[in-house]
Amino acid sequence: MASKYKGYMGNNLKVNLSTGEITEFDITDRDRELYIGGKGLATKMLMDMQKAGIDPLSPEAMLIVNTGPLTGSNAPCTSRFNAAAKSPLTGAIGTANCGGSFGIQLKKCGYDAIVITGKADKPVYIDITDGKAEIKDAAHLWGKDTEETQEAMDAKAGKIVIGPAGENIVKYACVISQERALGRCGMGAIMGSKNLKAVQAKGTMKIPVADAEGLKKAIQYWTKTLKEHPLTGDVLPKYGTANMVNKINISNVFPTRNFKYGHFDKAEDISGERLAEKYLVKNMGCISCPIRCGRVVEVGGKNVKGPEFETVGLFGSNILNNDLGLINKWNRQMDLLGMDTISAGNTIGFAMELTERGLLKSDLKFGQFEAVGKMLDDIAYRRGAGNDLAEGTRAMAQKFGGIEYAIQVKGLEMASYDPRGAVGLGLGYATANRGACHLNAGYMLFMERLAPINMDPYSIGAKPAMTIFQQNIFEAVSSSGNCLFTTYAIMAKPTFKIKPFGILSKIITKVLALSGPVMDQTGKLLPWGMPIHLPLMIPQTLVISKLTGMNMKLGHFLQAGERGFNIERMFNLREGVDAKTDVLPDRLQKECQDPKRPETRVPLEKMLPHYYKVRGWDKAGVPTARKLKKLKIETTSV
Amino acid sequence: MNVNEPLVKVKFYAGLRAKAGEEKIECHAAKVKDVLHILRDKYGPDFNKALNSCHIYLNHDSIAFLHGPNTKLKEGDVLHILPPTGGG
Repeated sequence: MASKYKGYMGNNLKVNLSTGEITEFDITDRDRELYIGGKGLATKMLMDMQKAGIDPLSPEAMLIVNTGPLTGSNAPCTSRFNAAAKSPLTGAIGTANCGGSFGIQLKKCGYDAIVITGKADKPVYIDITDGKAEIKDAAHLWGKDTEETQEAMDAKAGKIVIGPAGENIVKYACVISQERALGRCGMGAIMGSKNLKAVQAKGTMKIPVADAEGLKKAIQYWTKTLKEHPLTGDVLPKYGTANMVNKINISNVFPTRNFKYGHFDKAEDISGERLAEKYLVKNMGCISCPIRCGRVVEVGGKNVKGPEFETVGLFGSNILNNDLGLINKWNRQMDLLGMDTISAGNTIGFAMELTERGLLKSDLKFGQFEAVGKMLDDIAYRRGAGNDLAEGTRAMAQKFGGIEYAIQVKGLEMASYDPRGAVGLGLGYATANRGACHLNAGYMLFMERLAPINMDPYSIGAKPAMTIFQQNIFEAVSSSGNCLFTTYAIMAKPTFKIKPFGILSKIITKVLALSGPVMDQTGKLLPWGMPIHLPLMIPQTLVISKLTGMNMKLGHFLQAGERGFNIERMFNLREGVDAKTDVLPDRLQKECQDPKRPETRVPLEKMLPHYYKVRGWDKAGVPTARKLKKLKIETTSV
Repeated sequence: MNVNEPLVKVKFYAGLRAKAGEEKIECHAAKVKDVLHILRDKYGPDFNKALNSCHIYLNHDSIAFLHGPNTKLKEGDVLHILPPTGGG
């Protein structure tokens, strides 16, 4: 059944690797209206199609790879596609998002989503072409790294592949597509558990458009605003995401020595400025991206993808390393092995502290790096202590101790920001459905440290409501098939003309801090109270409307994000991941970063009850029946 | 510049380094606003325009949450001038 909405291909694939059965299935237009696509819709599908309580590495577990309506639309930053499953690392909802050509090619084959279940009795890959799919033998690919695997496959196809880490079911193995990654939550381990080495897609179909002329104009305007924006048009292209190193370090947010401290004396050596001066060959971007934040650096005589900010922090300051050349090398190694650099970096930092305290036998030591490269291989191949590290920090703490300084939430290792220097981010980390992810958290850091006008990073004023707003809009943007970097436009170009240290900024900061009671009520306006488009700040709604023909005004868009966030919460509750997991490690919640300054810890206990209330959840953190009814969340949960 | 006032270090980041032609300077100043005057005089209008969109941190704290340009300085303080940043 095709969709009445353009922008979608209207068809979906289901592949059972146990039986070899390949079928097509429908998604209703009502679900498209409610969830848009991507991670929100994928979680709805998991709720409807996957049994509760299954082992995420069992054959019956599902891996969903899907797109949003914007994927492949030629709108800015719309090569994004999503993967979702019950995470083998956390037991909670696992989602990951990636740029590259796979999502576009999947749609060109006529499919919005592919659902993979079962387990092949030998290594296989899935080959998708126009309107059909085949399961093929992957004996010649098994054992290869992610680059060798992609090189051995169809050069013109979009691909997702795993490396040795996925094959050996490292709990935070990622999936690589070109040089990009479905990084978090162990999606690569799920592919490995199914003996699925890769999926490739190559199609010729066209993505239908409702209003071609209107879409073209909206895209032109959006592209112009991104190119003229101080962050997306200047800072990110010039310095990449590592542009933040110095700022984050000066702000005491840069994790240092397994998050013991928030400042690294040698951060300058691993900054975006140094990367640009010493290592940058050129910058690169995903398809249809005018920002081009990616870095190309030289490693071993070859031009390869450079590290992102999170990798720089977790393989730099967090293990007391100021050698950017080593970070480039390890980043490349992990990409080839197919391993999430955030979880891997955190796990190595944690192992260093465990070793220092005599709780773990390993060669890993802060400030000494001879053992790191070998350990990354040992993790991927599950050799020696690497076999323990392959399970992640939470499992290691259960075995060796140190849970109070295992830096994870819900089992997912924390991104490279110490929330004691931005307490709203701490609330986001604690409540993010997939765990300690800065993006699912709502990235309050932007409002607290990066934006031209900041909220007081140590105050809790208005933080719950602002965190919820950010979490919801990130959910909606991601579900659309769009890169989250486009959300920088929310702080539009004219705001950068306000002096961050001037009187006007001070007044706005005070108003923001006092805005909590008003912000708390904004959710009640959705969807009908915001029947507008705001193309300068949130251009997605106009572009989705022109592309699909759907009535996607701002209120509907924000509510779709809220709905997505809530259905992820419902998935977690169904899997036993409840409010008890809305916590931070003791190191961040109970230890002050600066013992002389009591404000330098995350006062989660003061924010969380209010957060639940504004979300429309009860005191146990469960969405109320009224909230679910308002959000029209219904599932045929099995 | 009054040498009786505290000697402070001023550090520039990202694109501001190219505009200044250097990564850091030292100067004597009693308050942040005195440093801003020194920088405007030293580097000219292009630098000054960029300066207006920068965050200024005194050691590890944004002056926006201290006393803004009237924040007092003491010997050995480091003033960080940071152009807009973003990533994630």
